[in-house]
Amino acid sequence: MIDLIYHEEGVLDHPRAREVLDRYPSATLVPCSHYKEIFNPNGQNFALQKQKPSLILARKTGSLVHPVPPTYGIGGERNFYFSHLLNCLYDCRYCFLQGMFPSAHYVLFVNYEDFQDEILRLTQEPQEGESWFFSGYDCDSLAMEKSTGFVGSFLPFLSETPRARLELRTKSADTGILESKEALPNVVTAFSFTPEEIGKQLEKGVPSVDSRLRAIGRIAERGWPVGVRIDPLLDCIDFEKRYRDLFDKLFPSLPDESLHSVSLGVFRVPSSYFGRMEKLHPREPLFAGKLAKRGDSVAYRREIELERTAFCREELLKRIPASKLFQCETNLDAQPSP
Amino acid sequence: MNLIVALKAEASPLIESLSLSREEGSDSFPLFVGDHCNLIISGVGKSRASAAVLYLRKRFPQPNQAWVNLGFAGHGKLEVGKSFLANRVMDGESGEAFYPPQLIVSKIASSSLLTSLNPLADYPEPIGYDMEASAFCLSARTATTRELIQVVKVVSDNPANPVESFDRSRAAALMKNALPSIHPFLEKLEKLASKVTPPTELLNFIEEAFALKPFTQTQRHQLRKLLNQANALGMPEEDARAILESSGTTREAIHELDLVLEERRLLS
Ligand code: SF4
Repeated sequence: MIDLIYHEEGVLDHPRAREVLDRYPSATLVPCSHYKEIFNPNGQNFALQKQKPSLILARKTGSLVHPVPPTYGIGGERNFYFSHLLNCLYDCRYCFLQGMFPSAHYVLFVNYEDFQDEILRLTQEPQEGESWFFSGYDCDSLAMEKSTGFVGSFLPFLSETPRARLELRTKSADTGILESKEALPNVVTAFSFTPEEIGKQLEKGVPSVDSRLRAIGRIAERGWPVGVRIDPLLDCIDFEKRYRDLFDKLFPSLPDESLHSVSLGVFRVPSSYFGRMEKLHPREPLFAGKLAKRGDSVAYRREIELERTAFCREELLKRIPASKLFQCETNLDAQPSP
Repeated sequence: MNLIVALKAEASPLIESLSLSREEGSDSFPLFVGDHCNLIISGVGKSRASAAVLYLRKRFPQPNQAWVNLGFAGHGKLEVGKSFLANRVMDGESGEAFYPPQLIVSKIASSSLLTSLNPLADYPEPIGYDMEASAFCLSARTATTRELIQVVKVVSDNPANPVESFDRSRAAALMKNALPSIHPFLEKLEKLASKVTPPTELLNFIEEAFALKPFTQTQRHQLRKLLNQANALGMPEEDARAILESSGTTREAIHELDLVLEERRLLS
């Protein structure tokens, strides 16, 4: 429940800001000059704020859409990300946001139209192949839909901009907005999974695997393409059994024609973020795992990563065609150490 | 918890209700201490508030404590006697603003607050007005995380009851009446602070482990990290102690502990 909303002066004139305020009629409003006044200062404790984040309404200026590294993606020629929202409703212990952001407050950039203009401009550039836009880098794309109206606002735009392809990355099971609309072939809703036992330990607030599977079923039935993201791969007791069980649960229930893509992602966090995450949770078993500094990142030791990834890849290929499997390649060990 | 209060009249009901006793020898500022709480009477104004924070921080240097500026303020809208939590503290001179994160669910009202060097003649906006809070926030930032820096004020004057009409003999009673709503807030803040403080047993154990062998400074860093990990991975302290005691050199001790932990380095 949000009961304090900070807002940049002037932003309340924006109709989307008014809509958000209407959803929280009893919230206290606190003005600020710029969202960074509240969000950026050092000396904040992300983990404490996570107990009760406030909402900051702001307008995004400057660069709105950014390219993502060429090794990430799901087959598109050009891949971009944008962030209409910073931070997430859920609280996953492995989440890099807690290492990247000084604050756990939600920052909502209300000027969706500017993101859309930029996406339109990029899709109109002379180009080969598809352009993908990823909306879930700094947040969960769906979890806060009731507050943000993000998907509801982007669907009409995407229906008129078929060359732009959007990935909604989520762990939410609240897919009502998609169920209420006509499916669009250029919007893929990608659900991230870890085995249930891991989720219970590390993913606070995230709906169960079963409820997410039911959500997938509902939107697949409506014709929406869906993706599965096995990301991050986490080393654990009974690793093989747990991941095999997860795959056994996921794939038989997914209609082939709805499955757009499956991707495998390893656990890797920039070292500076990892240092902050460890400091926030010094007694977290995950951070005491078989990790190593590799290049500028912290990840599982190379042999563990290779072995676990190979196992999952092999198991996935028993269940899905190779053309649908993508792996976020990392070449951490090739990076020079600072 | 550290409480910074400008005036004796504001502090007295707190000192009494928190059973604090005067610490002898604290000549710069009157200081009152209790089991979990220190209270300092800073005097009026920004520089006094800053100096009091620095004094208290030096006297009680433990990190991650809660720091609260508590006292009277004028208010453009709230009625006299009502307490409020500052959600934005603006400095009238520098223009700098502080936004104490509001993590605690409380019955206390929430309001902006303007701190200025001199008392204001009127109440131009429906916000609070005081003479210490911004300096307190600025100084307390060096002592703790921002979530634990809070400003709680009790309205002493407003447009209908201007400051000139404030009856100083009623000050202590005004504060006393506000305490039932303020105490639950302070308790919750103290609980919040305890979440960022490592458990004392673990800290004691780490100190005890350091004393077992002549570890170098670098080795102490390594050992601290390993003992935190041992705790995270559920290794009983006596097992860790036995390893450190039974191994030969300091290097061997660290190596042995790391080796034994290796088997546990898996998520359950
Ligand atoms: S769902 Fe994703 S963005 Fe949200 S906390 Fe978990 S990892 Fe982070």
